[in-house]
Amino acid sequence: MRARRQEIVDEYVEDGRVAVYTTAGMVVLLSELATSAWQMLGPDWIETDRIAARLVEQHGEPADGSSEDLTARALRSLAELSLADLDADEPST
Amino acid sequence: MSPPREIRGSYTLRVRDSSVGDPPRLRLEALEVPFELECSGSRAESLAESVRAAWEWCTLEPPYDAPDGGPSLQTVRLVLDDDPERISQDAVASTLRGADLGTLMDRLSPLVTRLAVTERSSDLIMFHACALADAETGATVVLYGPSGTGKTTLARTLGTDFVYLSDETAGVTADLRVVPYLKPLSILATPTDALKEQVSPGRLGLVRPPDLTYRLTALVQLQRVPSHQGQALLEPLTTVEALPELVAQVSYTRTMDRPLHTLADLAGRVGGVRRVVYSEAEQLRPVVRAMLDGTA
Repeated sequence: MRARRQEIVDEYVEDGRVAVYTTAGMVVLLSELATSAWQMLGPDWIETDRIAARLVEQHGEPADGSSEDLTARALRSLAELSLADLDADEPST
Repeated sequence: MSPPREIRGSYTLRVRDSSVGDPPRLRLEALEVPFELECSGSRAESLAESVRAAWEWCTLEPPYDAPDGGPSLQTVRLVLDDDPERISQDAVASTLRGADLGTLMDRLSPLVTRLAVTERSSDLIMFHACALADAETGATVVLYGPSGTGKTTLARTLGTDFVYLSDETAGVTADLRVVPYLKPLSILATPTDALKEQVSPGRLGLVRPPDLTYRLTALVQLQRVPSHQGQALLEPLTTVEALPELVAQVSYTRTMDRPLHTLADLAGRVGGVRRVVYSEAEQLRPVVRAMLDGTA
């Protein structure tokens, strides 16, 4: 799976957390883990296993479940908030 | 009609002239935006009298000329008539019309607010807030929150002790000046009333703003919890925590350049955002006093 950022209006980072103003007109405050995942995303696609590896570096191994599952869950949350695109099957450039 | 030039400084009531058959016209100011209200219909005089009484602290008197580049004059037509046909005939050019005075008055306040906020959208940061100030220093607390968090009740309760600047919209300039909006307060006379009465702040005994510059000194998110006991709880919020609700309670953020950073910068300049948890307006009296004194 791959992920990339969606367009946003603005973002504000403080103490490891980010508030993001979405193009849907909503401001969302992300958790520390989601903030880390969000900050790894850019306009270009990135493989989610790379994101998972970086999250483990920053936050350590998850207490429950795999880092891949946790990362996928965080990215799905970002996608539900219209902050990220996910590309599960047929990656394109 | 010539464009307005001077729009500040006077609260004297005025009808344009007394010509027979001429509709009563009132000049108001909301967020420093000049308004002309033209009242017509068979009950125009009664309507004008009610508007004049409720909006007395917003009324302007001549000269009406405003500086070049200032807010544009907004014109609102109000028609109050018992005859439905006449209302219908007048409807084409009217903004608000009806056969019930209370309903017209109830609708006028949000209309004026909306037009004023739109007119100032490019040069003010406008909070959905109650604003109270110190009568000597001009220090101002802006207490923001959605409907139901008690802004009008706070203004009504504490505005007899502190200067009343608004119970609805607090406009703040880039240099932290708070622009008064001395609108009538919308109050339910009895809990079962369908419409809120528009009551002049003067009739409620609120403190009228002396000729001062009002400076934003505290930004407070209101959280009314009916079950809250004891003193109001004042707690600092990190800016990133405060931003979602702050954006929700500020108008036209979407058109700002980097809105989150703009609001974060504003918050930083007044010592950050605080949240107050309370149940009754009286609990906030010492809190507001301390914030205005800089001791909170």
